[in-house]
Amino acid sequence: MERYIEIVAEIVEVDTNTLALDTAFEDIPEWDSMLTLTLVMELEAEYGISIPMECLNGITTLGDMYALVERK
Amino acid sequence: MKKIALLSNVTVGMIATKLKKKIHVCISNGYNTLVNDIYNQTSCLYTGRYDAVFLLIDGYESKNWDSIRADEYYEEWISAIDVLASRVTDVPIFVSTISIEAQRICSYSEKTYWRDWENKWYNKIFDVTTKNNNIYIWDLARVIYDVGSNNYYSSKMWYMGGAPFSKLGIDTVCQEIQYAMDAMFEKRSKGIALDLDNTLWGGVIGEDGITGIELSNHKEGERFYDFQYQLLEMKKRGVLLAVLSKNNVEDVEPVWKNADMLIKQEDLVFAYINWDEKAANLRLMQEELNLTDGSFVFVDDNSVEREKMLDAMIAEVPEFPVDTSMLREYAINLYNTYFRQLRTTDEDSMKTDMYQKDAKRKEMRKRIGSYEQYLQRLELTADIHLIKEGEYDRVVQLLNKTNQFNLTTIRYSKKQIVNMNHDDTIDIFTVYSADRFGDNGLVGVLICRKEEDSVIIDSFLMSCRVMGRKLEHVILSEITMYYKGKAKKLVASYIKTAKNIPVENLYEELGFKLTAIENGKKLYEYILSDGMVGVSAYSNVKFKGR
Repeated sequence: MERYIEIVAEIVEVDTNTLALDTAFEDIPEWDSMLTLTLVMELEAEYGISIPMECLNGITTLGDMYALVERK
Repeated sequence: MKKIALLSNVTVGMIATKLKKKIHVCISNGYNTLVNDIYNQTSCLYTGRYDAVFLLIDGYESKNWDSIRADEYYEEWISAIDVLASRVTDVPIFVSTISIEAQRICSYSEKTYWRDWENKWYNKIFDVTTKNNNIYIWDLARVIYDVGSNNYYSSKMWYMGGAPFSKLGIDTVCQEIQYAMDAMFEKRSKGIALDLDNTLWGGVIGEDGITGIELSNHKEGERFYDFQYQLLEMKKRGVLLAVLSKNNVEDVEPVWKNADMLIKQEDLVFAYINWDEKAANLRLMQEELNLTDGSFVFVDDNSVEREKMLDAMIAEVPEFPVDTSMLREYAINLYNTYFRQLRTTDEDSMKTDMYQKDAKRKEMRKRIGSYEQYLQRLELTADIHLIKEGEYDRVVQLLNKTNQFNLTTIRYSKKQIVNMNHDDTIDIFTVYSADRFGDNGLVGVLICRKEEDSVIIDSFLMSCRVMGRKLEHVILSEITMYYKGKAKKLVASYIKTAKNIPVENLYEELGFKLTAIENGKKLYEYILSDGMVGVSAYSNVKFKGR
């Protein structure tokens, strides 16, 4: 889980302690659609998984995304 | 930090983000902004100042093209590139080749057009490069071919964001941009110092003999033949080749006569074949060639030798391929990593010859006791004139890679040099030299800036190949004569770097007066009331100012 938060923090370029699993992506000021793409790409590479587009609907918090990664 | 503009027909935000720690990238947000950016005079392309412009023409979208569509796009892009070429003339513009999506539903008898489209685009941009010497072909299609388009692209990224690149695709583009920037700024090594046994051929000549080594133009020996072929391709582009081998010279002798030994003795600037330590030999060679540490890339299959060279810290030491069937790719990678260049200059293709002639000069120097006599016997000539358009590339090359004989080590891009040349207060002089052994080509640059009653020597540098021939005396003597009557004094400076110690006291030797020393920078003056005494050793000196 720590590594996951690190990945998000690296992409947004913020300190890891400003992020938690209940943080909503839309509450991160720098967040945009490009960062969503970057995150999906980084997570796929890091965990060697493929995240289907269908699964991205309804993802609102860091925790939602983390649960998705864990399922894959 | 270097700055570039990146234009594309697809979304390239993620590439800019990835590069931002090394290169500042200006992009327009959004999809397919390429054409708009070029026509819109207020786009960041024209409002900012960039070191280069990259046009990434991506072909992922071509999956739904037909021939009419392809032609329409090509017309639109080429018209835009023509406009860009007319507006941006002073920095390199890299235009990518296109990789057309080849996975199509198609029967065996149908014609597939994708090959035609790739070639058509290539031919179109090639035409543009022949008309504009600041436009270069950026062969991304070939890189995609190497990486594999399935790995380079990601359908998901395309459908979600209009950016077709996978993570690997982004890394690949970033790497290619970095390579092009290195080539632009002449971060080149000078040459390759090669081992022989198990490097230029398979086996050990001292043990296996001429019939036992692997070197042929077919089957197993071909891997070494191919490696040598690529090394010679580099030599044609200005890369010096040398040999550092622990062997008996007489054992190696027969190999040079082997037809499959593509590299001949005359292709080498030096061959040290003895049992001394390779680092010691490399130092000797550097001394003979007037080159500093780090000029050579050391290539040796033996990890112990590589380790020793690394410890000596005088050369770049890349790993050697564990599998020698990869030698050809390894050679190409050496070129890409250490020797990339935008254009081969005339000086590059003559480089080995020039260094070999230098060795002959050194030999003559050893034979003739008096230095003055030696200079006389060289039959030296010099030609100094204001920069001409065809000399920009070579001047930028010298400015960016000369370290030893460089008084201020200020690096300028081609764009800056072109601008400076249009400035009436700045004179850029180029210096050619020749002697009985041949022409040395364009070997020196002097940049002078007029300020009130002074002429400031902004840059003064010479190729290390012509050091020690009093050419610097000739140059400054001509310059003082030229500016006498136009200004009261010359103002010069020496800015110390790790490499320019050889010219630390040059201005003192030339009779300049030291006026101040500030933070390692020495400032000098030369009152122009008297001309400097010329150097009699030069049999012919031509000078042309404004």
